[in-house]
Amino acid sequence: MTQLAELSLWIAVLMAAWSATLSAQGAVMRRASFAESGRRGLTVAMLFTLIAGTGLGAAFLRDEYSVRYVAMHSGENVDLLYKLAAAWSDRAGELLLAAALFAFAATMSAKRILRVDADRLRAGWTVAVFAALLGAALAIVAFKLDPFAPLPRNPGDGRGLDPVFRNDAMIFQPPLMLLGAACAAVTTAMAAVAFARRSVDGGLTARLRASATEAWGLLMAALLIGAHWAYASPGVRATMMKDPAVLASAAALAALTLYLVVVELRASRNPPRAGGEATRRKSGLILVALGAALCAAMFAARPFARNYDAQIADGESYHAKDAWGHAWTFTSQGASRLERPGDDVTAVALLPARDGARQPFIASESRQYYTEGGLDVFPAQTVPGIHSGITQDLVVVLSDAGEGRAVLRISFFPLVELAWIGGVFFALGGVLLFWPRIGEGAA
Amino acid sequence: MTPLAIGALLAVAAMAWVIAPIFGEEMRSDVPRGAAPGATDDAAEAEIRKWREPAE
Repeated sequence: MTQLAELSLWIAVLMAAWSATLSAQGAVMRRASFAESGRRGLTVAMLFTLIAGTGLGAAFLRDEYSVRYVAMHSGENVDLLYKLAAAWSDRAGELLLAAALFAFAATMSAKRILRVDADRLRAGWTVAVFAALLGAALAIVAFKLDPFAPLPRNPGDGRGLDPVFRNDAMIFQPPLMLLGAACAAVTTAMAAVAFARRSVDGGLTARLRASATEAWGLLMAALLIGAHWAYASPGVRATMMKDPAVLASAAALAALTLYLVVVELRASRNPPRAGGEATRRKSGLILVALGAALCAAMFAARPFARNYDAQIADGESYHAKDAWGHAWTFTSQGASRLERPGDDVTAVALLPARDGARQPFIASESRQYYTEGGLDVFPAQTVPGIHSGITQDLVVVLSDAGEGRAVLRISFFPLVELAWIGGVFFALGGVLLFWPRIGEGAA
Repeated sequence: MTPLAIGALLAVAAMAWVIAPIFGEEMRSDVPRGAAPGATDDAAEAEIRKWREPAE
């Protein structure tokens, strides 16, 4: 299967090159048959990219540690679902997944463009640009990153998945974000060709707006989930800030927001005629305003966040005050140690009381990871304890534990939950507001 | 059948499908002059005309 996947990757590179060449040639020579051949080439490139991606996923699920990329990012102690997610935990798999999603989005778009676009040359050039972008991404995967490179001998077990990625969000957040980025790339390619040819009409504007709104909705959802994940995991936060895919997605989201706001402001000069259309836009506007207000409330409350660095002996209490003036008491239940296959866990639990009323236990963990030989393979991770409420989040982070005492950071962050709700409102409202009006571009 | 043979077979089939439109067009242009054009040829001609006279 790995051999078939590797061969498929190379065939996909060649097919993308064929598609780019024939589509461009079709546009230059005005040959419909060349353009059709180019479109088919793009479809075939997508199919072979999917085979390559499926092959890489199968290599992870079947524990093929003779493949270097699998041995570096998976292992016997990794759960089955995380084994699949491990496929996109590093650049090679991430770019291959992005290429597969882009190929899918571009193929669907190319089929539609060649059918409905009145300007056939613009359509031909757009397919050529799609194929060139896909070919470039696949060439980087095949020539530089090579996820199918074998090891000289099968090590029998892998290094394991980086613990920061052992989270349910890892299974769907990166694919969702990359799908959004792929749709954004399709929109950008369509716009770039149209502006380069100075051929912009109503139909294209409506298609661009619909495509940009799809990409915006996907990216908003993915980045919201990613932000929530990073909030609960300091290790993920550090990894995301360095990931080119996350940075590119955030930049694409900012650019799409700007574009859609400008288009909406221009379109709002002509009020919609249909009653349902006006209601949709009004609902979208209300949700966006409400979402923005909730997020602004969280940022306005940030200066009132309280942080305490507490050193608590087992059984003793620590007193703190939150932003709302409530008195908190944290009683240490002591540290407990747990040895699991692959990691050692040190946990400290606190029993909090607010104004004398007992609250649920809150615990923070420090995890150290090792292999059979006793080597530390990944940096130690701290898992914070978080109690979320509408008014504030209580966060406890374990810094150190030993000799009957623990050092912890206790933080009160006001209105954080409101910002997450506001983000969801903003995303839903934005899609309702930005979606093209019925009949837009028909003129 | 080895995975490489399956891949090669798939690649050949895909390539045949991809280049079919080019050969299809050349075969249509080989029809002798004076022969009664069929409905398919008319559609192909219209398509080619649409390409040669793009909307501005």
